[in-house]
Amino acid sequence: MGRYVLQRFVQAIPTVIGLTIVSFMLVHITPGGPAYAMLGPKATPARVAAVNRALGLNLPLWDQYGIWAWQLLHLNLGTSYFYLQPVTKLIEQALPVTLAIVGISYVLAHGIAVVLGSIQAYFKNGWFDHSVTSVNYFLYSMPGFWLAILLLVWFAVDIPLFPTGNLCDPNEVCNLGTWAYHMVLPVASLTIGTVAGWARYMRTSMTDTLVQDYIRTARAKGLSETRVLFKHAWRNSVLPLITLLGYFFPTIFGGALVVEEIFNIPGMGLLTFNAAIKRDYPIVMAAVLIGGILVVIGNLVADLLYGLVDPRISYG
Amino acid sequence: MAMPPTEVSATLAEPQLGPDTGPRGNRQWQIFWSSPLAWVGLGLTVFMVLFSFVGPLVYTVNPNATHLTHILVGPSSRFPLGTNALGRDELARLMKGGQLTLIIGFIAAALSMVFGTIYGLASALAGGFTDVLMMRIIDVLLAIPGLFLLLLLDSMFTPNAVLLTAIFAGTAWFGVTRLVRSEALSVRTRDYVEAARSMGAGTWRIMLRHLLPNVMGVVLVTTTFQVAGAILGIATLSFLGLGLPPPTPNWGAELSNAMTSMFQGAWWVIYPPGLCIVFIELGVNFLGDAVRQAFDPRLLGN
Repeated sequence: MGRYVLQRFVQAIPTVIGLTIVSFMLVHITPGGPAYAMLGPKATPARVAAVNRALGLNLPLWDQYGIWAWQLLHLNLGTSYFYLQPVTKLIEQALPVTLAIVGISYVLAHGIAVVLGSIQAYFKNGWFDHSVTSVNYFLYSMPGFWLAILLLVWFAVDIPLFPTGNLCDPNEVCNLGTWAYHMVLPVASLTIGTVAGWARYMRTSMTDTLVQDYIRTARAKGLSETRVLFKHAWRNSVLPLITLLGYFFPTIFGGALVVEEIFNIPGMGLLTFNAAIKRDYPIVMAAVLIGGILVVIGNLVADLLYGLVDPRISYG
Repeated sequence: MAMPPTEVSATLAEPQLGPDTGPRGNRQWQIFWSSPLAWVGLGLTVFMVLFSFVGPLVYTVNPNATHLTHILVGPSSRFPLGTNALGRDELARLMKGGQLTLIIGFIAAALSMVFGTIYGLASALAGGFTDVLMMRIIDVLLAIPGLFLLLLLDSMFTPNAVLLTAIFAGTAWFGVTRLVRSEALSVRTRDYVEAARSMGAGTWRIMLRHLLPNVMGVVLVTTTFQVAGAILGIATLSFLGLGLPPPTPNWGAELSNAMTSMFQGAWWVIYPPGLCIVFIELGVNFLGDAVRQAFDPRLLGN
C-alpha cells in the first residue's frame, strides 16, 4: 500500500509540472497585457512600456516562467496587480470558502444520490423510479445558473427566507450560524445539480449489484431485507461513485464559480472571475494551478479510497 | 446554418455502413430508432432548431429594437413574451438568441470530435514514449476545471462567433481522445489489423480503414453529449457576461439581464430563457442516451 501511494504521488508530479507550464502559457500568450487593462484606453506606448517593465513583463517568456516557477517553489505566488496584496493571502481567504461550498455539496449530493439511486434500483420500473428518473433528466439538463436564479427568486425574493447573497451581512455579527444561513441557497444549488447526475450512476450500479449471486445467497440465508441491502449491497454499489469523485471534481469547481458569482460569495470562483476580467495574471495563474492540483489530488484520493473499500484490489 | 442532428447522424453513420461493419452498423441504427428516447430527443431538438431558425421568419420583430415606453412589461398581444429591462421584445430575442448558440454548439462538437479522434488514434498507433507523452498532455489539460479554462481564454480576446467555436472545440476534445485511444488500443492488436499490416497496409490506411470504423460508436456517443456541453457552456459564458458582446441576444445573457429585474416579479424574463436552454439540453441528452444504448460497446452485450 505504502509503495503504491508513493508511486501514484510520483506519477502526479509531471502532471503538476505540466499544469504550471499550461497556466503560465495561457496567460502569457494573450494579446493586450494587464498594462492596457490598468491604464485604460488613454494608455500611451511609453506608459505601457513603463508598467510592463515594472511588472517584469518585458523579460523573455522563458525568464518570466523561471522567475514565477522559482517563486512558486517558495510558495510565493506573486502580488496581485490590482489588489496590491500577495496572491497567497487572497487565496488563503478565498479557497476555504470554495472548499466549504464544494465539500458540503459533495457530501450532501453523494448521500442523497446513494439513497435515491438505491430506492430506484430496489423498486425498479415502479412509479418512484420513473418519477425520479424524469425529474433527474430535467435537473440534469438545467443550467446551474438558472437553478441558482430560481432558488434565489423563490426563497430569497418571493418568500424571503434566506439572504440573497454574501457570506455575512455588513451590519450583523459574523459567526458560524450566520455563515451557515448564508450558505443554504448556494450549497442547495450546487447539490441539486450534482445529485441529478449521480443518482443515475447509483441506480445503474445498484441494479447490477442486486442481481449478484452473493445477494441471492444472503437472502437465502434468511437475512432481513434491510440487512441484505445495507450490509451486502451498498458497499459494492457505492464503488463507482468513488471513481466519479475524481471525475466530477472539475465540474463541481466550475459550478462553484457560477454559484459564487450569483450569490456574490468571496470564494476562488469569484476571485478568478474578477481576476480574469481584469487580467490580473498572478491570481489567474495561481487559480488555474490550484484548481488543477486539487483535481489531481481528487483523483489520487479516489484511487486510494477505491482500494480501501474494495478488498479485491490490492496495492501490493 | 447549423446542421440538424439528423444530418449529423447521417454523415457519421457512413463509416458504419461500409463493407467492414455493414450488418452490425445497421442493427445499431435499428436499436437507435426503436428507442422512444431517440424520438423524444429528436422532437425537442428539431423543435428548438425550428424555433430559432424558422421562428424569426414568422415572427419578424427586431430583437434589438428598444421600446422605451414598454420597459419590462408582461406578455400582451403586442409582446407575446413581454419585454426585458431594456424594453426589447423577449420572444424575438429568444428566437434569435438560439441561432448562434446552436450553430456554435454543433460545429464545436463536430470539430472537437474530429480533432480528438485523430489525436487519440495517432497516440494509440504511435505507442511507446510518444503515446505516454501525448497522454500526459491530456492528463494536464483534463485536470484544469473546464469553466476556468473557458473563462480564461474568453476573457483574453474580444469574443466573436468564430473565436467562441474555436474555444469550445479547443477545450472539449480531451475526453474524446482518451476514449478513442483506449478503444483503438484494444482493436489494434486484433488479428485483422495484423493481417492488414502484414499485407503492407500503411499507418494511415490502418487508421482510416480499420481502426476508425471501430471507434466510431464511442466517438458518436461522446460527441452527442458534447453538443449538450458546448450549448450549456455558451449559455454559461454569456450569463457571466463573456459571450458575444451586446446587443447580440443569447439565452444566457437574457437570464443575466433578468437578474437585474429579479425584484420586480417579472417571471417572463426568468422562466422562458431557462426553458429554452433546458429544452435543447434535454433533447440532445435524450439523443445521447439513445445513441449510447445503441452504440456503446460496453452496453452491447446487455
